[in-house]
Amino acid sequence: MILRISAILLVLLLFTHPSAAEQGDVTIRYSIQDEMVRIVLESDKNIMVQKAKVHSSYTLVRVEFPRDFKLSAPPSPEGFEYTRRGRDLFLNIKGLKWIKLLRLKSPPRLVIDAYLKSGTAKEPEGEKPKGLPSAPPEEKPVSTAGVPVSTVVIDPGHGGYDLGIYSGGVSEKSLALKISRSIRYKLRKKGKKAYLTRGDDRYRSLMKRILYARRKSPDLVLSIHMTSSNQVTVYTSAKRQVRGEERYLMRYSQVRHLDDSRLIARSIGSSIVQELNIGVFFRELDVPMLSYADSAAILIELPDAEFFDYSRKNIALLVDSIVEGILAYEKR
Amino acid sequence: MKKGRLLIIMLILVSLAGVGFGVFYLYFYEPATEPVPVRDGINESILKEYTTLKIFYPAGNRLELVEKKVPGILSPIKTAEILINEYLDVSGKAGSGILPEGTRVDNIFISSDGVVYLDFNREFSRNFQGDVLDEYMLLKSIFNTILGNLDVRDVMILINGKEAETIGGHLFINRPLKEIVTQEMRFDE
Repeated sequence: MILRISAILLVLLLFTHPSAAEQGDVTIRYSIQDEMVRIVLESDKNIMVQKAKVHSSYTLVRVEFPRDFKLSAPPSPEGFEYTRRGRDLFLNIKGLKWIKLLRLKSPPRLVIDAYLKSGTAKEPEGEKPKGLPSAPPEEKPVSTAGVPVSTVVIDPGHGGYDLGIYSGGVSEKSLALKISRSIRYKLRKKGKKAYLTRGDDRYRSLMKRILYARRKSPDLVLSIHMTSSNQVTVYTSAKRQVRGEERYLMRYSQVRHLDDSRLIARSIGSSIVQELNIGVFFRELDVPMLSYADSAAILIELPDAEFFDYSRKNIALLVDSIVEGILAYEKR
Repeated sequence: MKKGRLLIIMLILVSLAGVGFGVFYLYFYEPATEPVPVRDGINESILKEYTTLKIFYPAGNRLELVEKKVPGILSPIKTAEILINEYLDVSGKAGSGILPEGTRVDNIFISSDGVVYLDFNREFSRNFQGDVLDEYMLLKSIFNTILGNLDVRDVMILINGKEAETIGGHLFINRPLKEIVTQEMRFDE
């Protein structure tokens, strides 16, 4: 009886001891292969591997362990470094592209395969990246001036849990959707093909919107937002110099269409001034919705609802002026 | 029998004391901190050494600069911590109100390749209320504040420990800020 109680109490004491309850051992091992670093985080406790959270961002991988741990690690090699902070282990990997994660048992271990950007691993000098032509042909800016704008993708900003600006009792997401639907209706009546990146109140990521717009091969991408001031702002992408292989990157697609984007922006801006007599400002910035578009693309920010009366009449005038601006560009 | 009972009671008492100590050590015990030296006791030469922090905050379509002096020569990570707290303080009070309410930085990491990772809380993106220009100026002010004080090459923003696509639905933040905020914005107003 006494022995049994003593044993129970002993076990209880053992479990309340901080080192027994909290710590685990983590050992780092790694191997560097062609454009890949394999990092193995081995532990004596399975929970350390199964419950560890791994996040990666740019060149940083953060491993969040569920418990405090004792780290044993060899010195960091070139291009790969680790730092420990509390229960977090930060792995800094030069040229990291993406990671693949495996959780294995016996012994418990977390295997992180870190794939590197091509070119991070040393390549012989003068060798060009595979899959690209040796001398990219010079491309001249494509101009669609005088050519009908037959397909338009309209992007109502924000949506779902992302309200955008909320002012004067109006949320940006609702206003953008209402205006976008009206523009689509008007354009279809004029015989154009018009699509919305979101047709109802739902959240869609920027990248999904961009990819949707590109799939439709439009002549124009029109993104509708609201500004926090009293005027209309029309954005076009910024002019930039792209060199060599950069021209193949999706994020620089807009470079070839910049002249057309500017012309449409001016045309819509003039039309808004004529119809509504409100200030229109023009800005150039590489907003992803524009810079990733492989067609003319503009982003219109409508005035804050605190400064502008979004009555049915004014909304109709706004929509008409935007559509008229597109038609005026076509007739140039 | 009596001796046996006494032994059991003793054992229980000793064990309970052990459990109590364990709980106290784990949950309540805080090691004694070093006493903070009073100003009179500090060597005057230490007071002469200070770090000047340059804090940029958004004000419309430009950035305003505020300089703050903090005592001592600081390590990069300590500088980054103080810097970001000062930035949040200055932007919250003097900025044009675009710093989202409840914004906090939970973690800062400086990588060996010169990238500062700022791990913001969820409120940073959840409470953002602004247009394209506001979002751009907010990111630019963070970037300039970090690059203006630390010998690093770029800044990466994380939300709640993870990479996020955007703060306000206009600009990408899933890549380092340099490319986004160093482009020249052209105005025609």
